[in-house]
Amino acid sequence: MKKRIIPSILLRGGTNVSLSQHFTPWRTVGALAQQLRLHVRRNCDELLIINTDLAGSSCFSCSQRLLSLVRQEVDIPIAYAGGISSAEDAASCINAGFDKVYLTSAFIDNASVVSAVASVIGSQSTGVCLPYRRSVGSDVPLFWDFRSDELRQDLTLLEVLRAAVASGAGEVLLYSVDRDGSLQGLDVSLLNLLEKSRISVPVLMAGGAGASEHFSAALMSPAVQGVVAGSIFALTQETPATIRSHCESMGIAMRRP
Amino acid sequence: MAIQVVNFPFCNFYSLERYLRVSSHAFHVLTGAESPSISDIIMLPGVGTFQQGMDYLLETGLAPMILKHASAGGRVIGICLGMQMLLNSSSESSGVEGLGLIPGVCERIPLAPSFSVPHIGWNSLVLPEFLHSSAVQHRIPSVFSCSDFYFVHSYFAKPSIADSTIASFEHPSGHLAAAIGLGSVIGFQFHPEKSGSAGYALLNHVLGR
Repeated sequence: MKKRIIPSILLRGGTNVSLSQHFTPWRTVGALAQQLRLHVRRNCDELLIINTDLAGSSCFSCSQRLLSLVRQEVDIPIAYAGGISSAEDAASCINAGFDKVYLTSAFIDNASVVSAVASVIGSQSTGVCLPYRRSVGSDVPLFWDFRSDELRQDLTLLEVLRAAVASGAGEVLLYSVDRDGSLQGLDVSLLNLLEKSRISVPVLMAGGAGASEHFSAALMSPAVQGVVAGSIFALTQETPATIRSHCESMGIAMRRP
Repeated sequence: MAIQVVNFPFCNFYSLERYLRVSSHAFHVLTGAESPSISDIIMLPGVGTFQQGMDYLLETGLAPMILKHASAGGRVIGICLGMQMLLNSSSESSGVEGLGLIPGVCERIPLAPSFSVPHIGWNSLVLPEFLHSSAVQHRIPSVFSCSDFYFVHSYFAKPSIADSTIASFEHPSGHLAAAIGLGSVIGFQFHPEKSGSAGYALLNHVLGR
């Protein structure tokens, strides 16, 4: 299986695309149509749209403009995150042209939503995105609830990761909020934990990728199937092609477009 | 020749539609109302469970239509679940009968420490060096072993005729089928319509022959 490079596209205010820092939109970098075209032309492996307008809300609806752009521009797999809280939401997303959805808030509030979603759209299309941070002076990654800006002392990342898989998630995205937007490197301190815990579904990492070496450091691990990144594609010269060729030189099996 | 697409509910119809539009292929949505002409190509996409898929084909009356088309030598192209339904049955939905256009069954991908299931992501095709049977009309040209294709599935095809496997992917237990074919029928486990330019080129090749 080839390791994946997945640009994330953060939507804020309709179809404006923004960069994020610490899981919060901060700077608009363009419009959705142009960003989709750019990433597709550059042969990334998959795309992730994070709709921050709906994140944490429970009234999901996708604008027709968003859907028609996705249908027009994208010839690779594309996932959606933001406001999915039921099997109906997830099914309407898949029927509208997305390949996969990610749940966060709905899963934390009620883990059984994930199995309900998976039973309708299949576990391969059901992902869970877990933003996490560490408290000062602690090594233990904890789930971070962006709605209340609260570090959940009762939920270690490993526990919620296991709960997500047990609930039927077909893929899990671990999102380091502390590193998000920093370009300082992915949270490789997590790799040891992941390798020991032998998660049975694909695990993706996000937060901090700012150079090709950051991708290879994470993708070298058998426990990580892909890296999600945003800022690197807007703020540096790196492209999926440069990252891919670096990773290949490190002996990592990457997709051949 | 016209392309007739089966539009499943719970199916990513739009990625196939985009391919057909971008590649300037005229197409219709196949309904139970009007039989396809023998020169038409039926495209059977599909996402979901084997049972959901077969239930839909039976309720809409499309199953007998597809069978009749294929048995008269008409072309059928299955993708993902659409490929799996070409077989006789699947352990995903025991007791549910498939179309049976290609003899064989679907089984869950065997568990292996180094192989995640569902099998999601980009993988290479392993092409057979030669196929014995002249019954298999379809070949995947060797150039397509130089690109990777997008897979999303938990079950895989086990055709009972060895030559029906026209491409495979690597699994710790051996090669598992990535594409199957028999007569005028062909099926892809992976999603050529979501595999970027290589996938589009493969569909062009298959539709153009």
